[in-house]
Amino acid sequence: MDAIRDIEIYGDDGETVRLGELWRERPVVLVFVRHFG
Amino acid sequence: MNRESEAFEREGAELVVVGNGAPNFIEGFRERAGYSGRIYTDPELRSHKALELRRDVRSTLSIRTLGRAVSAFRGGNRQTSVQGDAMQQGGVFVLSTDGELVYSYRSEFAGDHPSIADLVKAARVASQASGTTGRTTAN
Repeated sequence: MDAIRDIEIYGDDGETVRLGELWRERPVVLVFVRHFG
Repeated sequence: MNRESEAFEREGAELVVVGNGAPNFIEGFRERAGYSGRIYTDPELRSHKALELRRDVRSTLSIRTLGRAVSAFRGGNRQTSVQGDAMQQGGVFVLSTDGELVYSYRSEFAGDHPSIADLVKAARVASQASGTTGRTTAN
């Protein structure tokens, strides 16, 4: 998943995280939802 | 969503949600979904584009979408105001700790989702590949 590893996304307090950090410690089921509403 | 999260946790994997609205929409979504796990957003849709998730009118408005909407409505779900890009479709990706893609699913239309059973199996495979298995299961 090199294509998305370095993309930064935002938490609810505005902090950013690289997508690659999400699976660094544990495997993930990464769900992209359509929208929040 | 918490029930599915627990199923993945039993296999040693974590459910992480990524939306596409503004960061301040996350808390409301968390409350409505009743989900206590990690939620993030990509308002610029960079990850969605990189993952080639669909974004078009046809996938948002179709007969198949209408059928899923009716089912969701009958199940008590109600569409509130859209918080994010309404034409952006979603998907699911299961990854091991070294970034190996174990499973992918790209929604073809609104309401198109993979089976939870398939995701649980993929979570198990990802955990085994990562050396981080959850519960042991009889063979």
